[in-house]
Amino acid sequence: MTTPLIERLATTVGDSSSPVTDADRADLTEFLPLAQVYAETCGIGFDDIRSLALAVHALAFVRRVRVDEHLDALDEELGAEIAPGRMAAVRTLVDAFCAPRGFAAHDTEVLLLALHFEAAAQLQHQTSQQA
Amino acid sequence: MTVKIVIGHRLGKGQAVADGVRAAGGEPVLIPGPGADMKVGDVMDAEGAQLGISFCGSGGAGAVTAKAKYGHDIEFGMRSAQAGVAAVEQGRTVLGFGFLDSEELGFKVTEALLKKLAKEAS
Repeated sequence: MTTPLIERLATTVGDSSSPVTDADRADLTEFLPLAQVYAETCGIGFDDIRSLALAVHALAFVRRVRVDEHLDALDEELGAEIAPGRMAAVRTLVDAFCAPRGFAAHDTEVLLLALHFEAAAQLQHQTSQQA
Repeated sequence: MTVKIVIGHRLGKGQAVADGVRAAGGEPVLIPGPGADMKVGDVMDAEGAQLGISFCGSGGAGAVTAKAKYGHDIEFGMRSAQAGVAAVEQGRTVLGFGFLDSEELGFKVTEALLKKLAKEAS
């Protein structure tokens, strides 16, 4: 099972030293729709470039989950960049993927993913103001 | 020989990497402000830079954006200066790292690029 976005990601990173594997495809096929549902719920649209950026972030994330790797903590002030309620909502979607895999995601994972949504939301806001 | 290296950091950092680039004899172009990793390809194009270094949590967003928009040869998800050196030696033109704002990284990557360009020119 795969999607056009996953295949676009696979093509983009295909000649790197860590191309998309079947295990990646399986995990991304589960995770990316969760992210898509959240984005649609919030009315956040991802253009092609932002979709690819989210997908490559998701690729690194699902790989970390598989090997039980945790990132270092980030500056908590970054949370101030995030819209109210987004951290909690993104925590829910991250846990929906991680819990069945026995991975307890740290707040850093939630924050990094939330920053992707925030950037897309802000870009969308700027674009609509210019239109 | 002078090389121009663009640096974009998701959190608006990257000063230490820029210092390392300068110390090794390169010319850093540090993109200011948050979300700078996503602009690495654009600034490389505008500046005619030989190399771009992007930093974000997972080390990929800026690199894949540069590839999608400009066709750069990329490596992503790197966590060490040595991985960056290997990528330069393989001819990658945009390097995606996790959050690593270190002078060592800037120095070693620049040193590797200068060495590679000198070898190609000889």
